[in-house]
Amino acid sequence: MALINPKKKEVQVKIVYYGPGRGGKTTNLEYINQKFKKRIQNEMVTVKTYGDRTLFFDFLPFDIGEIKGHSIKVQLYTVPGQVKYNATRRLVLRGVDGLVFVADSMDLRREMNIRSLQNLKENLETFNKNIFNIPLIMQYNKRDLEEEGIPILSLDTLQKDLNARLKAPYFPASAVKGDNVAATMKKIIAVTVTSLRKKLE
Amino acid sequence: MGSKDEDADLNAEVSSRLDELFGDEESDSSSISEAPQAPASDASAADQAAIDYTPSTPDQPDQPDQPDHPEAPSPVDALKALVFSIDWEITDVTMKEFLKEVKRLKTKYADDRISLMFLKLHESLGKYIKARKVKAHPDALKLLTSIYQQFEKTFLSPELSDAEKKKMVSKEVKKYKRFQQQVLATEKASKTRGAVSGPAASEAGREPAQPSAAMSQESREMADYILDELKQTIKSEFKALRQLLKSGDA
Repeated sequence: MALINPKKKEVQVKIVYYGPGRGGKTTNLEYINQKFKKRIQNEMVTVKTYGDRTLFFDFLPFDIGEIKGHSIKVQLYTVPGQVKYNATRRLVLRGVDGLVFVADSMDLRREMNIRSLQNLKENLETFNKNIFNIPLIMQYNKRDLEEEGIPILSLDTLQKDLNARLKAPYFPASAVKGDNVAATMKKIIAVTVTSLRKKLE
Repeated sequence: MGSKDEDADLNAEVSSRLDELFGDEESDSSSISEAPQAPASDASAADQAAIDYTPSTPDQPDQPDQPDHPEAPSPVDALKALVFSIDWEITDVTMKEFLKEVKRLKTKYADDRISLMFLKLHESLGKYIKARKVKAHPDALKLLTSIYQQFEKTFLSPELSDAEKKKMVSKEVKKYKRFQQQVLATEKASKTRGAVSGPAASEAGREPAQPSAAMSQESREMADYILDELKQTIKSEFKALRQLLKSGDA
């Protein structure tokens, strides 16, 4: 739920990057933080395990200025993707306003993508949220692996597996190269803020 | 309809602001494909049903849509994919596939001593990682990647002489032997610590190895950090709620 301060006319929007372990969620935020450092002017907070895998979460806050008379503050979060950190994932999902599901295009990760999305649905239900009613963007990451000869899932397969009913906007992407990372972020922010229109009036 | 227009206006305003802030700097060369879908909130009642995520034709290998590889696939592509996969996450399925692929390659290259040696290294390390999983020595994955990379070079570099290939495999064998010694030393040290700390540790059935001690300290620090973040989040949410209540918008 977006935190709205009517007196200060501030709106705080929480966007969570979700997906299977090692799918590229942290890489997305790292790219954004690096590329737009001057504009963001905030530190990205990352808590990592030994072994360089996100144990808890990454957090990147920034302002996008005034929209409809309200100052919009965006907070990007990632969740740990490994199966065992479900409690943390649920914690981070609390109060979420918009979601980016970062799917791993690697052929071998097909089942993990599906399980992760199911996990997202279940975790949202614990907060009485419905995955169909929350702003959501699909990102099909690691498309660059195709160039290295690594088998990847076709967009069609990914769409059928993950987006057949949700019908969310989707972006093929490569977070390590930055392809469509900013586009994904811009889209989720736009869709999420739009969903809050009535609260801004 | 009026609200849809207003939504569209707001969307346009936000998008324009975001473009100013974050520009159009990234390449759109990899086709940005937006499904021209209705917003999620407009989902019909049928879509509200539980999501059935059974993958389409799971038994059928997915035919890649990219037939335009300029070069023929390398015989070790599957192994490469599996090594990447292990590096990302160690699962029973991946390890099983990995050892299966190594076995297949061993049969295929049974007459090639150098390849066979590389593959035996893959197999030994693979079995170790499969048995130990997350408790595997942290250098195991680095070593596996290194062995694979050298092995791949012997395939992709026809200009390499047999002598050079032998040198490459010897180097990896030495690394593997050093790694074995490291693992043995670590396990010996942890057993000694277990004996010194007495029955409590053995009752717990844990191996108080060095990496675990380091992890628990890290975990403690992270737990403290998380608690602080939680406190701040809770405080700010309560603050906002109080303000809402005061303003009468609850």
